Amino acid sequence: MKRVHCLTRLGLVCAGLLVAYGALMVHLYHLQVGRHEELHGKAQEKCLTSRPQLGRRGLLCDLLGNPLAGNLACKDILAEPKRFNAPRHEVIAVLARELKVSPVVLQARFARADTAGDRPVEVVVARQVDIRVAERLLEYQFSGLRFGDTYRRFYPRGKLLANLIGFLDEEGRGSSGIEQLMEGYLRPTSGRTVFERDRRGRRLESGIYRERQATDGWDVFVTIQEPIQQIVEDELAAMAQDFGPRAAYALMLNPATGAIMAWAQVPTFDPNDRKTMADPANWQNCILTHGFEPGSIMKGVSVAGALDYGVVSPNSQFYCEHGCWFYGGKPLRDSGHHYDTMTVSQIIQKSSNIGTAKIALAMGDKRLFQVLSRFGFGKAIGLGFREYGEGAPVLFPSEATGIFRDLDEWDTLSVTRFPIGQGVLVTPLQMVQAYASLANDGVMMQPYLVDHIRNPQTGEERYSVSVAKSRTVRPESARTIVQALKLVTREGGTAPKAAIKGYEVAGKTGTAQKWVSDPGGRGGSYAYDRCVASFIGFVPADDPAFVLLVVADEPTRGGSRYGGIVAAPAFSRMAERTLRYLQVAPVSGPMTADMRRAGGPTYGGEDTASQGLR
Amino acid sequence: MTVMTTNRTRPVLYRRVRVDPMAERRRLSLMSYVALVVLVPVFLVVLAYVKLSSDQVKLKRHLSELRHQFGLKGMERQNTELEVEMYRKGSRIFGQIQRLGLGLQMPQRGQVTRVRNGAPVPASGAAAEAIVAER
Repeated sequence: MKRVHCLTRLGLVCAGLLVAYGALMVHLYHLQVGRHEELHGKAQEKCLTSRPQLGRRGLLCDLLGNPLAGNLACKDILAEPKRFNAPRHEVIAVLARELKVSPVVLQARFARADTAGDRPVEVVVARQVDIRVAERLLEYQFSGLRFGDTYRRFYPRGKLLANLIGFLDEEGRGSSGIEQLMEGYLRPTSGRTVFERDRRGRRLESGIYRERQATDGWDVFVTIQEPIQQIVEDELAAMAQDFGPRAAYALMLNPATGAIMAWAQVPTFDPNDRKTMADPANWQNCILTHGFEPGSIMKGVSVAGALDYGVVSPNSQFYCEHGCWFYGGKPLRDSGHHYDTMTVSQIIQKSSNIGTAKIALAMGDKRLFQVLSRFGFGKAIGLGFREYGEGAPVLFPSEATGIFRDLDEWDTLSVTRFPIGQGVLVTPLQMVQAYASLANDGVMMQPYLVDHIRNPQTGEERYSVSVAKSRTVRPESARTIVQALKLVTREGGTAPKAAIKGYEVAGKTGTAQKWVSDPGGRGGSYAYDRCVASFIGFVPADDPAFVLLVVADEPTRGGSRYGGIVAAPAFSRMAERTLRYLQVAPVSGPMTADMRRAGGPTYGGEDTASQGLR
Repeated sequence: MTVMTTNRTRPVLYRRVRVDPMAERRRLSLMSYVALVVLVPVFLVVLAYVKLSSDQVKLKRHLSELRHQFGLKGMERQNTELEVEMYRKGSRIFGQIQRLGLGLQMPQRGQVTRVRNGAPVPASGAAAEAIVAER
């Protein structure tokens, strides 16, 4: 009997042990198999660490490879004050001395970490610190300080081309200019290294190691050459100094290819110095975003259309009403001049408003609308990079279209006001594009800004190519208007100061009164004392190296507000220096097509090979 | 050898055992020899291994430090190259020429002739003072 009890108890104990063992097995299965992923992940979290890899933002260079924007390697310094191995006041004193930051500021930052209880908190000590300074700080061997690799965008040419290049925001993304336009190419992709670490955080050679490589951004080469840009900026600044305009800008374009050659603006800013960006007028890109009433420089385009339709010939005569003509119940004046009968060429040369309005009337509003539409007014252009010219034009996010109303919105006066540049708002870029097509025998090229891009890691290069956009006028019409535009810079024209010794200059002056709205916002009038003075032209007239527009918005000094006085001399100086830089051979007289083919005559015995160098 | 004794009625059989007093010493000597030949080199090998491992770790750290320094110097070089560009801009150079009164002039018309790559070199004279190959 006693033996039976003993066996029963033994059996029960064994059963209990078996059940416990079984439960243990089930639990183990649950841990090892059921929750494998979760627990394995947690374990790896303990011993794996990762470090970000920084890619380099692409460089911005001019056509010759001179860097316009690059990256300075630097360090972000962060601190975990609770881990300092030295008294806090000592660390603060060192940091304040090396980083030139107020100790009070550092004290306040570190105090924030104290409010977080036991949780470790990292505070920013300084961002984008020079690497040499960071190395000096490393030598102190403070624990609790962390140094992260980073880059700071640096613009070695300072103000040069600043409005076009743009700048980055706090996150390192392009927020204006080419930096924004080419963001997709310039931006690097960041990488990450994951590895198994030892107790001190060092990588275990035999442990897990995974790496996702960072890729650098593409380097971007613009079509602008630094020396030409410098010339244009210097002369624009001189003009601004002489005439004190509210703003001034100049744009140069190669009519044969559509490549932008210079892009200058006053006022401007230094992208390395944020203080110069306090006033938005300094960093806005007027050439792209600002529309202006072009005034008389529109006449060249309007008359080219009339010539193209065969409505007029260069010798067609128009009566200019002694300087004052009423049409649609409103007077149109010729700025104090009392012209009688003039030919079409003279109307351009003297810049007669009445003559141009009558030419436009002869053409009719439908044809005028078609002409101005063909020249691209009212449409955005898109200067962005198109690989080998493929795809749709890529627009600057801030590119303006100007204001060019549909035909059904035109009133009685429109046909007489639009051809003289009133009631139409154009961007400088649109106007240069229009004149470039006249200079290029009526073929409008797609303007472009990026010559090519290069992958710094693979060396792969992708190019832009010149693309003919459309035909604006027939070649004969273009050549005819060029002959008329040449008269503008000769004696008797409105801009003899735009002439350049040894070259023939074709161009047109503009002096547009600015529309000033009434205080109530209803209506307004043109102000006589607020003008936009401009000159647009190309040189050599028959085989142009470039088209150049110079605009002074509201000149206040210098005793004049006319385009022929304010902008034309600046045009002449810019063009003369640029021609010299490009070594374009001057001619002693008008150069015919035959002479061009023959390669002579040349001025001063110069080498004829300099032709066709553009 | 077997010896029969007769001091008792029953003969006693015993073996004469030859005791070799040197055997123990030889064994110790052998063991010492083995220890000397095997253990000491093993010990030395282990010591060497430890030393080499330690040196390797030190070298790796040194290498890592050198790599860090190399990278740092590379970054400093790139930074300096970029900063140098600031001093190479045209406006600064021309400004310095004027400030220092160096008397340098822009080339006169025709002084510099730009020719295409591969074009024949023009005859000597003022027009051929400098030749800039077209890019």
